Amino acid sequence: MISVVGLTKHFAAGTRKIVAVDGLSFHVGAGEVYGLLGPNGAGKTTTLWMIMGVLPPTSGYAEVDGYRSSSAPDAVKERLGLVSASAGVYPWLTPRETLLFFADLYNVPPREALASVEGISRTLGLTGFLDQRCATLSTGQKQRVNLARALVHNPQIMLLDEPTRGLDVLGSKVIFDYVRHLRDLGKAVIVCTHRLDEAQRLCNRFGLLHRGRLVHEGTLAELQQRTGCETLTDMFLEFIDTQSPAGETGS
Amino acid sequence: MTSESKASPSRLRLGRILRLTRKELRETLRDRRTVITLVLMPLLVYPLLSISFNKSLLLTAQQEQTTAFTIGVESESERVLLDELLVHGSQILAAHRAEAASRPESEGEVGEGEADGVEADGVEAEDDAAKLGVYPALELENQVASLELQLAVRISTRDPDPAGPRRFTPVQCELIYRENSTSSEQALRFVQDRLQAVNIASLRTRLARMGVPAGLPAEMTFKPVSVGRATPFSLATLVPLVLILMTITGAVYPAIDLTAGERERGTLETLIAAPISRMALLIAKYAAVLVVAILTALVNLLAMTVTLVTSRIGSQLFPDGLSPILMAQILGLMILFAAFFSAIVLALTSFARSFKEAQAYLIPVMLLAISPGLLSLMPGLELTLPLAVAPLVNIVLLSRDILEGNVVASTAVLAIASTAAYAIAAVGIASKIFGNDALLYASRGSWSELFQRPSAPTSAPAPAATVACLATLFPCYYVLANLAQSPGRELSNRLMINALVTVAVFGVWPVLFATAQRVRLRTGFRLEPAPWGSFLGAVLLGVSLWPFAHELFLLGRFAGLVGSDRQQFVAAEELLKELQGLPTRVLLYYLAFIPAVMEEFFFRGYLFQGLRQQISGPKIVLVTALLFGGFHILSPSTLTPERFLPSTFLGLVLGWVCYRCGSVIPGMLLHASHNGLLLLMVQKRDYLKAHGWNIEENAHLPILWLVTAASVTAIALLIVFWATRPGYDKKGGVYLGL
Repeated sequence: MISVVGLTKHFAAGTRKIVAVDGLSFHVGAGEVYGLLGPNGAGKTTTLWMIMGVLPPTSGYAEVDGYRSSSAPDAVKERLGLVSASAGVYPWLTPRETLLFFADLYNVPPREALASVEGISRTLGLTGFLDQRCATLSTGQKQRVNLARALVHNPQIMLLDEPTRGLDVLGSKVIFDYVRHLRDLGKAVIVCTHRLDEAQRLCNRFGLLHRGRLVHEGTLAELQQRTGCETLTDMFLEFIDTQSPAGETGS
Repeated sequence: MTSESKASPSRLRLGRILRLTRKELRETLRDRRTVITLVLMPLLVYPLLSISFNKSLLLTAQQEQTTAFTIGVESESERVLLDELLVHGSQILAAHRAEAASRPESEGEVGEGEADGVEADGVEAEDDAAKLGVYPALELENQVASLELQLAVRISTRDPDPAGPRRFTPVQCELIYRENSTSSEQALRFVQDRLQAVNIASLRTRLARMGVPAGLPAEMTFKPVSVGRATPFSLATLVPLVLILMTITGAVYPAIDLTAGERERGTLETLIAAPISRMALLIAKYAAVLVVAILTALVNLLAMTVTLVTSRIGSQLFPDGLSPILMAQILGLMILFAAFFSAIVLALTSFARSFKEAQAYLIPVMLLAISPGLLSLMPGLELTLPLAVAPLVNIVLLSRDILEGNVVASTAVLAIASTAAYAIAAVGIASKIFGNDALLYASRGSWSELFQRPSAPTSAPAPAATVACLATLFPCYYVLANLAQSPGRELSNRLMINALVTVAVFGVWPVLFATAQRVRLRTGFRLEPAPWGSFLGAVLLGVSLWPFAHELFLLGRFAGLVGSDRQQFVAAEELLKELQGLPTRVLLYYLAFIPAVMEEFFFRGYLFQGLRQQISGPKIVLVTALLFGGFHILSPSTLTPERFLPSTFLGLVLGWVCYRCGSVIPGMLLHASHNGLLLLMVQKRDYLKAHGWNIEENAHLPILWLVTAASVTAIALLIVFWATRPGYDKKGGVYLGL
């Protein structure tokens, strides 16, 4: 459902050139949860924005359900749902108004939108505060509104950018349950996170990003066999050690 | 399956935009802060303003009653004569008043004096209310026109007719006054009443002596002569300004909330991720801001009308009344202005990443918006063609003209059309900025870079530092140049101080910014070598551009770009005389070389290089030329808009030369040659005139001169072009070691 081929993005910062993503290639199929992992600044979010067609790649391409992001961004966006840790809510709108507004943005017919809002609200437990202004909601309730917003147009592909950032244990559990729910629905999911331990519990396959380049890719078993390390964290640290010149690592 | 052909259709549909607008409005109008600005502010502001207006009107009336008149005459003998006549006239009037007061009141009975027209016509000023002074004969009209004198009296005596029966000297008084000026008209009545009283008393005495019954016309005649209508400061001008400022406040908060607020809340990225065009999002936001701004205008207009009517201040400000048609016209202008300002505000706030940043952008704009608004309150300011295209000023002046019933159709149409065009352009810019990739993901271009010292030397100033330097440089120059003005000093000292100010502002100030930012001076100020040919071209341009600058100066004046008043003109003439007595080398050093080098150092050096990271070469040439032209409008303690066109033109040529050469040095030579030649022409004016080279400030140049200048300019441009063609040998360039 998602194909990324040689995806590259350069940014100009004054006279300097910053390589944010460097020749990235991977594939995610239906019912698969793919973990795009790496430290802050590895290029995870930039990759997601290029897949969505919001950012034009410098070279390479991404395809979603057969649509190329750079040439058919609206078709790609219609098929995607985005959950981001930094996403907020409209304080003066109610969750119902917010969900219906986004359903309209995603071209969902009004009748279907109403049914979809009811269904998602039941699934994610929004019914108790569906007509309350978002400004009055708790952090957890706002988080659930955002999860519902990403699903209101019933996308087949979900992109989750650092979904557990800033959340406590209970908040993170809601996310884990949400991802399992998506997987059970047969959706293709990409989860971007720097929390490698969490990713290990959630994802089927992994791509380890470092400075914009994919350094390892495969299932947990494949990666364990290839690297000889037990956990994703160990694999990543070992890779950093081998890449860094002597003297740069250590204490 | 690669489906490039399956791209979704355009999402710019009216129904969807209306739904988006409804959501934006719902969000905005539910916010209490919007409602406070929309409703509570007008309810508070207008009653407070009406109290201030009332106080102001009362004070003005009191001042008008107690102000002494200054009356000018041509000679000391005339001053003595007029003084005697006025004192005598006052005594006659006082005697009549006393007589009238002692007479028993009798309804319908007309006093003798009143029947003769001797009684003062409502002017109850004190006898010492008139101060007489002697002024040069040619200046009298100008002094009255500028209201430095309330009245001028020109007295001429006629020889008595020897054949006639009378043997007294007839006197004719020309009373020069300014129409519509309260003080001038009061002074006129003051003098007329007293002269009339003297006339009638004198006539009566003479007729009595001759045994002739009274009734013959007076021999002493006086004729009021108007020197034009005064346009006194009208409080009514404040009304559109207040309405416009209130409309601005209405648009500001929703604009910030719907753009920078989206980003700060984290809702912008979910919007951008949706399959809808940014233009559709922006149009919906614009419509929402516009609706709130129009609502604000409407509420303000309503509150203002109610206040004016109920406080009776309306009848004082608008003697002809506030008709519904008048209010509808004003509302129409407010809507147009709301459309313009909403777009401007939206474009600016689209740049911002947070509420705080948006406020930082908007506060200077608000202050800038107030300045032209206040400028429009200046008495005598007409809605001329250039002002009709000046944002904000045009709407304020047009509203004033509507309120006063003095609308000129052509300028009104131009003001409306230009405001509409600005609004469309601003929406276009906003749509490009809103949701911009750089704003979404990168931190480059942030104001924070102003305070960050780079770890390594850089070749160009950061854009934020460039803008900050520019923004602080103009007020610094204005303040320092004004401080340096001291008429008592010798000219050479004044020139030296001015040169020091120029060096400090255009040299030291940007160097401080560059040093703080670790910018290499050679690259950061474009002090690069340039090919030999470019220097030759620069000198030729320096000596051939002045005729075009002169013609543009005249064109600007023709279009109404005139700022100099008579006093400034006289001061300039005096300065020119002083310059003629100055040694040529001093003149060229202080007024040609230093300003040329320093201005190029900043405008085509630091500013040009700083903007290079943000905009392309031709646009930089245009922007720096406009700023250069704008800077030349600023003169200490005055504005000289007539210099805008020639300076901008020179800036365009200098920018192009700098762009072609990659160096600021040929431009310095061009600029210095241009300045130097003009100064020499001023200094040697009499010599040139004696040899048939008469260059009048207000006259077009002979066509032959223009053709010759155009030929030399074309050759010079070709030389620069050829010398800087791609692949030219930079090693052969000359580096002046600056």
